[in-house]
Amino acid sequence: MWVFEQPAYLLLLILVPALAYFRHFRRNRGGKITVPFEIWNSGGFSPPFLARYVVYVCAIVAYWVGVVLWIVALAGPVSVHRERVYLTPGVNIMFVLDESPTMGAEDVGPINRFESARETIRRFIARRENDPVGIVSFAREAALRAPLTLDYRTVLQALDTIQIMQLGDGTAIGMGIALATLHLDAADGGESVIILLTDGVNNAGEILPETATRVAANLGVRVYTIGIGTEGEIALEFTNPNTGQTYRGRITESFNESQLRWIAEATGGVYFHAASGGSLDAILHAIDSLETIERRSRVQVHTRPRHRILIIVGLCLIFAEFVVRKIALGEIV
Amino acid sequence: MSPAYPAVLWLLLALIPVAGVLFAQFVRHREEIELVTGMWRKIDVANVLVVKWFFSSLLFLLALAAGIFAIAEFAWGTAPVEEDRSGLDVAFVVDVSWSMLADDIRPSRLDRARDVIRGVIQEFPESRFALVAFKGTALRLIPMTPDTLAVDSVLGALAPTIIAAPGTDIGVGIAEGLAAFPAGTDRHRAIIVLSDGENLHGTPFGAATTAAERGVPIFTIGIGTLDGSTVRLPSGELLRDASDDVVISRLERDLLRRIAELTGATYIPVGDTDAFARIIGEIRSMYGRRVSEGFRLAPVGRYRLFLVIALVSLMVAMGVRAVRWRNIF
Repeated sequence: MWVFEQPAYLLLLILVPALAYFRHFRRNRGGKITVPFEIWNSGGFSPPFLARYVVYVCAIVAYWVGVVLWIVALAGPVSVHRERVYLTPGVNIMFVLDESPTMGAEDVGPINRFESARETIRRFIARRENDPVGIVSFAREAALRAPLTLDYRTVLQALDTIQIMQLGDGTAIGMGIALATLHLDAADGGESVIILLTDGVNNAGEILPETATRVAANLGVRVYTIGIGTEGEIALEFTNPNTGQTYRGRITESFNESQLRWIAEATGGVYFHAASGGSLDAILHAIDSLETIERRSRVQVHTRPRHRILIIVGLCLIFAEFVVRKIALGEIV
Repeated sequence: MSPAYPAVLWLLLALIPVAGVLFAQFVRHREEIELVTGMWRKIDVANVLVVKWFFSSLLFLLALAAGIFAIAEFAWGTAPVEEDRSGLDVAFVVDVSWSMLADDIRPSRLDRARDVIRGVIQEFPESRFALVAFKGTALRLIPMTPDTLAVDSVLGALAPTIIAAPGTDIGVGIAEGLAAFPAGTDRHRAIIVLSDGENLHGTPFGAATTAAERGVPIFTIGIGTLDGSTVRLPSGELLRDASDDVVISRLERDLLRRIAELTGATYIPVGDTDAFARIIGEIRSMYGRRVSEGFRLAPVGRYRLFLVIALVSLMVAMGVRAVRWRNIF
């Protein structure tokens, strides 16, 4: 939307028709010389209609359009956009995502556990407005993929680059929770939450899940745990990003439900079991509603000046008229 | 008092050929008009032609010149702009071109840039930071985050090899730094550019002007010496240009100074002994002033003055032509 900073200048537009009349239509105006071609009582003749006359009229129109643009530019046109500004901090949400090879199991559709988790997180982030989000992923080791930020585009880009088995072949749940807690500690105010998505039993890392959970609990970080997968024998397929080799097989192992439940309850979180892509989505919606906080916001108005382009176009039109009238058509004054 | 688009002022040179054309036309037309009006009014006609030609041409040239000045966007003086913000977001925009490996600043320019960033982070504990590296293109390494641990871990990995695109384009770095400020927050914002100022592609002033419009000051920190030095690549060889001559990289402080001035911030050379204290002091004073008073001082654009001059000259030039003079033409 465009508005004018000083609309009073637009009143100058009233003068434009008067000036145009003064220049182009007034009888006895300057700039023309009357020359007799015929004797006084003959019929006379009209000048023939020439293409150059059309060019002349176009040039005049361009000139006055240029003048109008300059007057509009004087009024200070600015484009306005409104931005919602949050006054209260949001909930700091750190995803801790399992990327061990078993996440390639194909029991949670449409592709596998890992892709369902990724897609669900993507949709979850798309619903956020003022909650800083970060991602930690883990397998044998844990790594920070995106620090807590409101810059969701960067978080999504980081999410897209995670691949199964980039961090080895174990399941270091304790390391994941510990690293997420460490980075949540830097958050500026507001509630802090970890959402842990895993399908396995802790079998790697120097920090036990119990230790990491106690640290999180002490810092007031709630951990929501989500166990992904179904019971029984499941087909598995993943590509090792280091060798490019694709592995296929069947697995029977499952996650340790009592451990995940304990982690959640020790920190004031909730444990969920996701057996399908749809239930994963529903779980994150549930976490959404558990983590609603009061939000206060106001609307901030930003303006951007737009006069420059009008001045440039106006100058071009006025100069074009000069070129046509003076050089192409050879007007004397 | 500096124009936002100084290059536009070169257009003023185009007024010389325009004036030349006007004069050539005048000489030709003075002869032609005699043929039309006849000998008996020759003197009067010539006089009127001289007067009308002179004033309308002069005023027309004045209008064009004033129009060009308006486009150049001169600004002087400052006016308060209301700004209700709290907290501070800082985007570091770091040059990672090969010339940053020069060791005229010890241990190297890039290492010094790292030190400056670490120091600034320590001085503003409650703030959020983003880290952008640029060369031929820009890369947002760390989004705006309160997590200083994350920034620190990535700082160690800064090297010319993290961006493949060759060259140095400060403009894309600034643009990426601007994009790193998330929407919907009411915090104060500042960009800190750390560079040797060698800008090989594009012009950074467009991006700097956008930053100024959004009220984001760009502090520029010049890293390097005016004498410069050779650039030793990690392979141990010296950096050479296309014609195989050894490149001497020097600090280009004028460019960095202009960028900072455009946005109401300051340029600080890192070679000075008090450089670090100045950097902290400058940011703190900008930040403190804005917090305590609830407004910031923005430069006042003066295009309107020039545009009024342009319009008035144009209308008077037209009037000179439209008024009949001595009942001749």
